[in-house]
Amino acid sequence: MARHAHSYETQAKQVNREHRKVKWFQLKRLLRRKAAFVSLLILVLALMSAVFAPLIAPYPNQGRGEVNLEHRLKAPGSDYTLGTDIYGRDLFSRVVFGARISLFGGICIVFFAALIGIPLGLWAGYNEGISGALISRLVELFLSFPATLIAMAISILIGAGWSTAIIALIIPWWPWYTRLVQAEVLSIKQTLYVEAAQMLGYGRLYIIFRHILPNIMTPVMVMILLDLGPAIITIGLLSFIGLGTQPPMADWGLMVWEGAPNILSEWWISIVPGCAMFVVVIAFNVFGDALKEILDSNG
Amino acid sequence: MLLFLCKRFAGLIALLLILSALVFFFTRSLPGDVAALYIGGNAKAEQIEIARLELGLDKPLLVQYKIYMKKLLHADMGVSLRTHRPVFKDLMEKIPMSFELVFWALFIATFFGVFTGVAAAYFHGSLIDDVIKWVTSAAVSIPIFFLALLLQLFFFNYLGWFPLQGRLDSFLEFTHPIENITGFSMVDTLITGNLPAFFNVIRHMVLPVAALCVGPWGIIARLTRSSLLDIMEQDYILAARASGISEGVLFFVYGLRNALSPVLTVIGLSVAIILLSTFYVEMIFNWPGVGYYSLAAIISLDYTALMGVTLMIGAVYVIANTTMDIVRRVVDPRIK
Repeated sequence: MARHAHSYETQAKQVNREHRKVKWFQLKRLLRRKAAFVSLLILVLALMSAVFAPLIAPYPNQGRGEVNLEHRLKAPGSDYTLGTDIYGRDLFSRVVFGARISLFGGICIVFFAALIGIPLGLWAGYNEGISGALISRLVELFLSFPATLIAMAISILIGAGWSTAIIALIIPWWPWYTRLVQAEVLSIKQTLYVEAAQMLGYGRLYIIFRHILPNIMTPVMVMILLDLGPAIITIGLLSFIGLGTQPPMADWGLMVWEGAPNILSEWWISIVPGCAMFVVVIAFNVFGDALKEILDSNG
Repeated sequence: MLLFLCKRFAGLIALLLILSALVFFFTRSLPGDVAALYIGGNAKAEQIEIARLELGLDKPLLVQYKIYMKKLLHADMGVSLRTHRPVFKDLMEKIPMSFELVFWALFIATFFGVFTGVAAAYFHGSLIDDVIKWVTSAAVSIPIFFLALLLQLFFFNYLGWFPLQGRLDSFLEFTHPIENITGFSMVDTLITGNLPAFFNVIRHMVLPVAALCVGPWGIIARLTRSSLLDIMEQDYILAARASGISEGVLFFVYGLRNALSPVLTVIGLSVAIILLSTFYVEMIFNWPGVGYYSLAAIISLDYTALMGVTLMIGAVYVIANTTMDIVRRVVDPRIK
């Protein structure tokens, strides 16, 4: 009886998995949702402004950090759409250039974390031997301590900067992917088609990449999407306390910090980059949520 | 159960040992000469050598580690390079101040988080659910430092409802100073009958606590909602519904208890999120707690204080997670 229940469960899981693959009509349904469509639009805009920053920014040199002391602390309007900061730099240009650093930084972190975490998870899930156990212990160890604290420590150790902040964040970030992938592999390993492939004598790597990887991509994609927002915030957190991007680069978190002392009089210096960060992060989260909802609902 | 408790406890001890070892070897590989940092600028080479002997930095690394562990067990974390006072004493003074903020933030986030999540799940698909979804999405997406600045700008600058920063109004510092008994300003003012200061402290605490609790509130509310909705689709709920149990009982008695188990884990994780957020909130609101102290330690590369702070936050995180694991086990017997 128990055995029967077990096989019933795996069958149900298999059916469920069929539905969990991303299909074209699901993407269409996703874009028909207003919230998802708008957030995608925002993300595309942010990405475009990161790529074409020198063309979009009215003062590209100030975006890169050139000071303009004649026009310090100008309120939003007229010449400077979003105002200027304490060094007279145009905030609109700074925010556009900041997209390069913050958005691209977030994407880098998640990309490399997934690149390290997924293969390790595949390996640890498929091989239950010593190597798999070792990877699991390592993952547990990393996840036992707060990621931001690890990142801060590493950043202090190797010296603050944009690229070191990215590395400092990848190090505590990859274990999340390993854990997710490992759990997925463990459940998918028991399916009939994997057993069949094993019986046919296919090699380990072939089965992992041909039969297992395509079937776990959906939850991984959702996690990647939902991680981008937190990654952008965490870079901002490091930059805000001086452990990330260094001035005069235009990082959104750093820009908020630069404006913090003047918050009561020249509020726009902090609020403009803060809003940019907030809007992009919320767009990532809403889009990721919508995708997850559509994939979770059957069909 | 006993075996489980023993296992968790052993795991906890092992993690704390690993943590202390990591922190030690981490701080020893920091850039900069510790002895030179300790003695301050413009020191002669001989003076630095003397400081090196004083700090025991001339001994081999493993011997240093042994001494460090021995001292740690006696609650001796060394002397701060910045304040030149024992780090443990500094921390003991600062922890209650931050603990007040963390406690209220965690309490509010948990209570209202679960409440909001339940409301969203109960009115699933309605306007209320949509509104909650939007507000909680915003709550988890807003960077803490930005939120803190927004709160200052709005509630101090425009509305003038709450004070900008600090723990007590400056004139009250003279007329009704806080006696330091437990270190918790709310408790201290209350037991000494210092009511003007008590209410003033509360007014000062509102904005920092609000800034701290918004993120965890959003996380807890979203998780409660999704977990509850998952549970309500289970077969046993259908069976209970078929046997004629009313929807309210079904929802709050049969559903909620089972839905709260993943929420408990997240409450444990929220402790760490809130603790790290105090770095930002205490800096922006000028609150004299551990977060402010840690940030000062980071900026001045005060390695002994950094060690103490990292140990403390790591330990709190590990202990909170273990506790939540045990509570989960008690609440939800299905977990094995």
